[in-house]
Amino acid sequence: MGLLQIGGKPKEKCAGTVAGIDLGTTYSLVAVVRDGTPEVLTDDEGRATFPSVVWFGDGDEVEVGYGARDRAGSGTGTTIASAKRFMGRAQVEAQKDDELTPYVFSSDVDGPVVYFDLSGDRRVTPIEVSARVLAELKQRAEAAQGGPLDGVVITVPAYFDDAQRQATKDAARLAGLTVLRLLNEPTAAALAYGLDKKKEGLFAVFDLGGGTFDISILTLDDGVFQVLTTGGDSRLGGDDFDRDIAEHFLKQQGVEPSAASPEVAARALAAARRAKEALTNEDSVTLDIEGTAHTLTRAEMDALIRPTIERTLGPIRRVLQDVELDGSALDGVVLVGGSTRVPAVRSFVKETFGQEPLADLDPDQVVALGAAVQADLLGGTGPRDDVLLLDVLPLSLGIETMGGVVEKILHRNQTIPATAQQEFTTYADGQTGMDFHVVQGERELVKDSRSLARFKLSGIPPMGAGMGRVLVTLEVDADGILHVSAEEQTTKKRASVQVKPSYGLDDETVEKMIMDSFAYAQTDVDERLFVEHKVEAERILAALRGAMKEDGALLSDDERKVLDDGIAAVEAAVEAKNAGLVRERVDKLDELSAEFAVRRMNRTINESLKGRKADDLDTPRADP
Amino acid sequence: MDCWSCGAERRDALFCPTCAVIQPEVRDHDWFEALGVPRKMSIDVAALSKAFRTRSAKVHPDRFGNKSAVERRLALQHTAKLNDAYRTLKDPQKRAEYLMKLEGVSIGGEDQRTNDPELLMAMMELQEEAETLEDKAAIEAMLTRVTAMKAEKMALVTKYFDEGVGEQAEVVRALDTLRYFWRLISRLEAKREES
Repeated sequence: MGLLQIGGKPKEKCAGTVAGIDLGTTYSLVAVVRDGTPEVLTDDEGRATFPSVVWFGDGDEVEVGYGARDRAGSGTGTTIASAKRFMGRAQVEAQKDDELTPYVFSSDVDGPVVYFDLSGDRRVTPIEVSARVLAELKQRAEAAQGGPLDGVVITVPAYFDDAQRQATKDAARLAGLTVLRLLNEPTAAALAYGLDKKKEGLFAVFDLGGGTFDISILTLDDGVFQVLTTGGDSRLGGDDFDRDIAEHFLKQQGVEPSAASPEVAARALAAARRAKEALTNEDSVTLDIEGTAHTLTRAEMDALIRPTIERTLGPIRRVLQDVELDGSALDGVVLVGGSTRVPAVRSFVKETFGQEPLADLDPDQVVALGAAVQADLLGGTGPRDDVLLLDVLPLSLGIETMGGVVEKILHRNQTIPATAQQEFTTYADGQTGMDFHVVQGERELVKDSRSLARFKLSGIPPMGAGMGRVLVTLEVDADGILHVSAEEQTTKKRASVQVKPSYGLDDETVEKMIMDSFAYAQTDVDERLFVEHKVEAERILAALRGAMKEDGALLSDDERKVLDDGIAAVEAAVEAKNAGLVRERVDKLDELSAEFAVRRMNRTINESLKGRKADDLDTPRADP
Repeated sequence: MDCWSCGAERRDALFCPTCAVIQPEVRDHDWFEALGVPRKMSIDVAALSKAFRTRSAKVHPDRFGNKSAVERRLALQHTAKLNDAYRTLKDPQKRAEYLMKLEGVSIGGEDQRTNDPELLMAMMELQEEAETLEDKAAIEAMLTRVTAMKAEKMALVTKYFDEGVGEQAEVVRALDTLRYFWRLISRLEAKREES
């Protein structure tokens, strides 16, 4: 019946070139599946890990990875490490965060995004820093695969909130990557283990990385991995061990940690990291710091970091309570993350769960391996019927109600994707707008929760007070990211929803960054590729324009504007003859218009139901 | 009903019999139907979980990674519904409230809190009693007592839905009471943890 070929007819994209990326706080990795087996890609020197470090020179020079780390002490430029800790954070949060920090934050901004100061008048966001790291990994994967990547799975800590997830997606877009899925790190690890071992049962994943701690419990049954519960602390990791040890060194030198200059702090942290790594296999280590020899034994280190390790106990207790189990009842405990190499961490896990943890896969690589497996499942050699991941929402979402109280409408540990609907009535005659505030977290009061976004509804048809009933739909997609829509129930008019994210960059800024981005800077456009993308773009634009003309009533004013803007963006990319950008924007427009297409479909169904006799249907019901 | 993609007749099949493309729902299934389990109060939670996983495996958006945005959108809608259904039905209280909702009585919304003074009074007394307890054995004893009270109310609810025995009003009241019991039990469990 040809009703809605907007985003196009169902299409089978050919088996794509995909990769899995573990975007870590200190190290990142990229892995691909070859002949059914995931493997981590290495650099020319055989190294799998890639430091998540970027060095910005005083000029335009930029170094990423080992090169950046080597430049760190050179005295020129600015080195930024652990940018992941600041993804999706506001300036003020970053500043109060760490007493001991080698970063210089821009002091003149008090916005929803962290800026690091570079030399001159320049500054850079953690999103851009992460994009540099991702772009390097992209290159590595493309070199190995012998062609451009069609998509990637990027892992994030399960405990990442909406803003942190969005920031990660933005970084990927800046790097010119198509994100097939944001995958929770512990889930990725379980996937790598499960496929490897073909085990069934109930497992815990204890994931202690450089900057984050996650604990998840999942079941593996007949190829379906179902995450039952997840918890953790997005600001706890091996970096904190380094800090514990560095503070000890500084105190030994008679320096108050909070008063240490960024240079002294950076050297103490570097020494701490060396000490920690040495003490994984040795019982004692002697280091030269600021010209003095310092000796640290493993027992001393264990005592220094014990309080930090014990901070994992709260989240562990909570997830075990969620599944109403004792740690020893689990079929296995999987160790993930470089920080689980620390012997004190291993013995702590053993003691807490009453069993020897599994660690046969390299804890540094297991997340990237799992990401590669998921990428392959999603977009690689084609969908496989034997494996599926069911992940959960890490934090509850609620709406602010009277008196600053949170009404939870999507719940922690609910399997995603998930939707929830809430009806609001107008309280004044002729009211056409409405505001609401979405927060994330488990607490009862708004002031104790993390603000996610404020939504402004407009375009509600004017009616008497209490007559307008606006049904707001919150939807969390499989990446754990929130989408909102609203419809007035009497008139079925769609209200406009304006989102003002509390943290992170707005869409416009991201778009602008992408235009300026290094990933799209290449001018040597592949002519053939460009022509292909252009033809596809023109087909989609024609179909979408036709549909919008025919069924414009199904769109709210700002939904229409979003689509108009999307069309204009595609046209601009075609004009600029930038194949990569055309593709990116066509994909985005396809995504943006899918909901419109489904609405047209549902309208057609409703119309055709009206024309049928009630007894044609299994259950007769009044038309809505 | 025709397939949105190839136009062939598909009735209310989830996947078009001709071109195998995923379809929107023709009519609203209730959550028992969505998961394919009998509409009953006493259900086998293991079987429910199994059904949830099996059905998710068919419609999960991950299965549609290389399909069009529209198909992915439809997959997402079906999956979100399964997820809602599963979350509701695996929890006995939510399952009972949903069964009541299918009878046309909604329970538990913000504006539908009970205002039965007798019930409120009884629950407040229990609440106060729980707060004063410090001794582990005493907490344990009260936990056993409240759990038994909960089981008794639950039996009444199950009888009503599965055997048609009892009055709706009485069951509505039992469900109100049960909400307090569940909360009290988790409070007592937390206290036991602390002590």
